[in-house]
Amino acid sequence: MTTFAYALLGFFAIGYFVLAGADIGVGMLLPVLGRDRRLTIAAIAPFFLGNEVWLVATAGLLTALFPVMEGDIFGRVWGAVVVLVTGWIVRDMGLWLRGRRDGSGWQAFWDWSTVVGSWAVAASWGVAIGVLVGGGGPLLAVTTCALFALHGSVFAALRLGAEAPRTLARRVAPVALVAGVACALVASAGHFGRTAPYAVAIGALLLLAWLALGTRRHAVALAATALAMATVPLLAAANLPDATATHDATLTFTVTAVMTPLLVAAQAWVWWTFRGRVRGPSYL
Amino acid sequence: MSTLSLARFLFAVTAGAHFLFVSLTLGLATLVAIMETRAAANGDSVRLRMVRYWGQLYVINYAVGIVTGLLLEFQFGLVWPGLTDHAGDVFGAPLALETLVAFFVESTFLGLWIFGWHRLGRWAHVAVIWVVALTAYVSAYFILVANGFLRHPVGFLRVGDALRVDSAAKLLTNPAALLPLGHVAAGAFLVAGFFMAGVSAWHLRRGAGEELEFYRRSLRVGLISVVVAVLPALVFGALQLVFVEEPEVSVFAEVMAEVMFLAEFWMIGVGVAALVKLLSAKRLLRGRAFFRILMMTLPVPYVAMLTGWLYREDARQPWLIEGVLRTKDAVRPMSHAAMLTSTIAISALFVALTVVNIVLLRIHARRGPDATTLGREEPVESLEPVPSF
Repeated sequence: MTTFAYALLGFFAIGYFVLAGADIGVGMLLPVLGRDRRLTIAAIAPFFLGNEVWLVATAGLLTALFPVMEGDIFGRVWGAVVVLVTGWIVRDMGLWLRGRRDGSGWQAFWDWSTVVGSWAVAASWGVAIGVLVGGGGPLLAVTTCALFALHGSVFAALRLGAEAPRTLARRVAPVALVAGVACALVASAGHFGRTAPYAVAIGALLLLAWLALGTRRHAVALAATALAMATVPLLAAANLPDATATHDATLTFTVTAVMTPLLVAAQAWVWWTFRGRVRGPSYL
Repeated sequence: MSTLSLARFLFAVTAGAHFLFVSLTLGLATLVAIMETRAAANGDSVRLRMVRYWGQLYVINYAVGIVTGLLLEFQFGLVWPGLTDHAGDVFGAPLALETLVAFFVESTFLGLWIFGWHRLGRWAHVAVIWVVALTAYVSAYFILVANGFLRHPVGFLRVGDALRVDSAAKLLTNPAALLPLGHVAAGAFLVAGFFMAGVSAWHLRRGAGEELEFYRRSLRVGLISVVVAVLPALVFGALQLVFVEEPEVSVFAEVMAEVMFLAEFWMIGVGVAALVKLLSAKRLLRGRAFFRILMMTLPVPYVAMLTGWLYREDARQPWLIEGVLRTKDAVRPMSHAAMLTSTIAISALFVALTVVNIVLLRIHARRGPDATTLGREEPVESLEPVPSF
């Protein structure tokens, strides 16, 4: 029962980091990914709404399946969660509102709101995980920021087919690699055996991404950064206190088992519909 | 203010702001879905423009609605851990189901709808907006199951300090959830109906020029929605009072109830006038006084929604879960300074968002259908998309 509950929680948390990681990364680097910001935003526009709900689902499942652990986690990472949610709101408002009025002042204001909000989200993940694993917050924040930025710029390179995001990704990859490996080791709290596999995985994946970017194999690079993103929630989970699932989760389990394939199918439809390269500005 | 009062104030501000947006979202999504279905069925170009114009106002409003909802989702864990500590098994289930069955599906499909114009087939696009509209009601249902449990706890067992689900069926068919759902659903049609009617009236009062037919039809849709919804809203509202009425309520709750009744009677009056006007196509556009009244009525259903909700929730105090858990026992014991800072910062953000939303809705409502960007024909699109991943 508890294993199944963990698996569900992990599925949605990993989904969030892999999918939303890309659009948050694009938001962080918005001013430097290309000259036409409307095109850059069009790279993530159809996806960001469907990406962020993976975290909403994770939070919902956490409340229903591990109510006691939820209270404990939120108590410990209170400040980081407030910053995370506020950053998330500020960022989304930037994306939604920038195109609703003409005028460079209006658009510049909301672009900065997108950028600042995205950095706040990425950094507060690092700080939150730092609190959960008992230290290394600043290093973890550098790592999450670098990983989100890398994943976002690789995604932008693929969707836009442009040179600027690729060059940027090549520069960010080494930062993410060094910080990522270092913090996987720090998070072990002395028991290197426990987190060494993560350090090796992050190192290998980011090296692969860097090499693939060099030969313009953007899809390979994106697969590598996506897997690297998935190690972030896994690393956090490895350090969570053992918790047993709630006593009677039949209702939640039944509905989730029926719904999950439908949710995945709906998301697949979105990704299939908008699989093409960006050709023009979107509604945002 | 004590930490408890601050926490309650924060919840009232965030939930209240969210409620303002979702009441329009709920009703308008359905009206847009109906309009798009009819446009697709008879290839009517005026109706398709109506879908895009009202659809864009819906999307502007939805954006602020969703970000306010995000904070609410996390607020239970952040500020009210007592609720999940004691009643996590019972209260957590409807919240989790809401995120999976409703929130997740609604957002995914709304993305498809907004960005999928000219990419999806005509009927696929119609199907997508219906999924969005229906999941919005599913969302309202689960939230009211959670809220109804606080008001009228059923289907649970006490095991030591904690509550367990005894009967999922009882929990999910709690009359304290179903009756308010009827009330909220009908109320949402009032909000959306008066919104469409009020905006159309603004244009028609100025003659509307070439858009006369556009706003005449929009006015009809809005007024029909009002006429259909006004009685159910009142009846369900009265029925659910069984679960709200207390021998003694605070002065605040009493004032809220009075304002709510005034707003409801006003809407019934306008609803009767709307029915008379709808009976004849000629009468609909005659008389500027009626347009003025409609413009003035636009905020009234919002007032009724908010005051009704404040009355309902305040009458429950001092209980968070009636007879089971006191509000003061559920709040997170945290420093006053941290609570104060968060309350001020988040309230300021929410007030700013509400103002921006109202200003934007006003600008786009006034500009008229020609300025609509939603669903505008995209620049040259090659037939075969170049796969990017």
